[in-house]
Amino acid sequence: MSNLKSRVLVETLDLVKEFDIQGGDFFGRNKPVVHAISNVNIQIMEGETFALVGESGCGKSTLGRLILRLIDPTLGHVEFDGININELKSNEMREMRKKMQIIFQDPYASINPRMNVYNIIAEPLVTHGICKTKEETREMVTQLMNKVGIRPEFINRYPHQFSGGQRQRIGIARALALQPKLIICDEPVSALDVSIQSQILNLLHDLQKELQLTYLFISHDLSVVRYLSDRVCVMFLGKVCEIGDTKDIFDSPLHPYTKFLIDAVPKPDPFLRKENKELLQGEMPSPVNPPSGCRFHTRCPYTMDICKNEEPKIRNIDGRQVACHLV
Amino acid sequence: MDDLLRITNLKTHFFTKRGVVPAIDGISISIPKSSIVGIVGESGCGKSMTAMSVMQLIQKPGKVVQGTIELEGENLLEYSKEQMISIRGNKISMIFQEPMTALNPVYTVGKQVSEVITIHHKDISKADAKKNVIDIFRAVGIPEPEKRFNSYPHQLSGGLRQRVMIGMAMVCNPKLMIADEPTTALDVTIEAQILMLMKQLQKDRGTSILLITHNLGVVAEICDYVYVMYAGKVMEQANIFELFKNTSHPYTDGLMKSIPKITAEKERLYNIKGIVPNLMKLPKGCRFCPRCERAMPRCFEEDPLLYKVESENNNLGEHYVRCFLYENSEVKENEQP
Repeated sequence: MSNLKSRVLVETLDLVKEFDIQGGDFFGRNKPVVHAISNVNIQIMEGETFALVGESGCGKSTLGRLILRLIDPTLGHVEFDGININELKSNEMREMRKKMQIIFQDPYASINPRMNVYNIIAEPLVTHGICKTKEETREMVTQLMNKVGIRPEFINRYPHQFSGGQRQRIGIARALALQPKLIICDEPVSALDVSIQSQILNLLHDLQKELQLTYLFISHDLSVVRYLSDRVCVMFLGKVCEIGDTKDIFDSPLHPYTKFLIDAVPKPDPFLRKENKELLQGEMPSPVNPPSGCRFHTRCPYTMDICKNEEPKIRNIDGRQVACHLV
Repeated sequence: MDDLLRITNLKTHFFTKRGVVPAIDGISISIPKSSIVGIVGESGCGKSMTAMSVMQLIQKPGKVVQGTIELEGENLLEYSKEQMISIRGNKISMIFQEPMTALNPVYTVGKQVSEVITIHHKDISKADAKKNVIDIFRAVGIPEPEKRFNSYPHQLSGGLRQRVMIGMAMVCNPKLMIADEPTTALDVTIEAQILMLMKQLQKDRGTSILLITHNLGVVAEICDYVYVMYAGKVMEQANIFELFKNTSHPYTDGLMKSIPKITAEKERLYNIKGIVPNLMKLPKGCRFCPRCERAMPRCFEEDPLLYKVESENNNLGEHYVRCFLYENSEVKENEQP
């Protein structure tokens, strides 16, 4: 899909996000900050599924929130459809939000338990003044319910009367209500059982085809990413390690971190078992004091002297972007 | 008799105000000595309740209503409370999914792990207990064990906390370790480390492991033998290689086809239609039949038994499946209609 259209929908330019945390001396000096996102440049093309992968604390969810402008960056900005969204006033931003929606991980927490299905899905339509009359709204809500596979007669039911998979469908219907261009899916299937997970993944797949949606798919589950995405961005501790076409990244990862990440996934095939699998040692360093040079050098088995001192620049190799001194 | 643990026809029911919930509805599971046995299934299939039944940690309104749980030939269900206390943490230990909630935040991890030793071995000195704890910390791969002895749980990362939990479970050299979703809360690179550690411990110390998980990938990585559960019953059981090579039950088959494979291309996924049934309103006949693509009229009337599947891999443990498609072969012993 990504080959057909190559218009950039979202672009982040030298995006930096630092969070203040408690600490520092009496005069407020030396305040520690969490380096959540450091100089991230990504481009999301129209109509593609762009996946952000990495372990907890790598900044993938923060990046998603920055793109929606739920939080403001410390430096840099986000362009959506060529417009710098960080300069928009709040009423202009509200208009812009129609074009970008989000689906959350936990369908139990992201839906108000006191609202019925009708109110949940109708709320964005009413807030943005899309539907003027009650009949119109009801018609629209029914259409959306059909689209995500929830029977319209359940329109007056409350979230607790649905299973996890159905709630996630309601969340998807709510996200679709404003006919957005971009949907950010933040771990949309992590809380679901395997058999339900595949139903939701297929739904997302079908909706994308039908409505020409662009997905930013945030996930720690590499198998799901492999299945759903066109391009992948691997992140480590707030930095981009590698960006490229999904197939290239999974078949021949260039960055050592990508390689270890893919190797670590438990494969559902006992015949592929390896007795002495090479494992990544150690744990994620602290984002408060990220390692100097390449942030991955403390865990990397191929560390050279240059890695400790000099930060690797992102280089373009065969249509891929990689940040590693080795390549 | 080389089975370490043998569960026979176990039924654990919950007596709620709204009716009886048959969380476990007659399962038989054997764990041979020094092996890793897996139980896979989706939420609500009874996999965690099996572990809780073995540990006898089922709380009201739940109750084991039938069956036996034999550890080296002795029925644990006949044990008194005091006898069970001497078993838990000593002969059978357990690790949980969320290492933060399973550890006490106000005590150091060293103190919590030494507590396990002092409870089961009253005559051991404090210094010896500490030495044992540091040894086990080293064995489970905790860096700088002497320093970590005095750390509080919040000072450790998720992976280290899970290592402490495993250390706590292994410190009395149990015969069986029950691991309930031990890696679900961890990142993939840490998950791989923990799985490798469990395999290593089983090899070095001969501890049997009962691994409970929803992830077929985890099972495929380390288990020897697997039970697939659905709505309180075992649907299929086989050696791990046999299960993947010769998948027999339509449910197991559906599960395998619905996981996205990291090795496969972007395509539409297979899915099992419908959802897991309400245990209070189980369908008549086979409990999987409303979702089954190969259901026959008979499946809606009668409950199938476990039938044997013939195969060349059966020297690694026999293959049984609860499905009428295989009813021409012999029925598993102890099976009650």
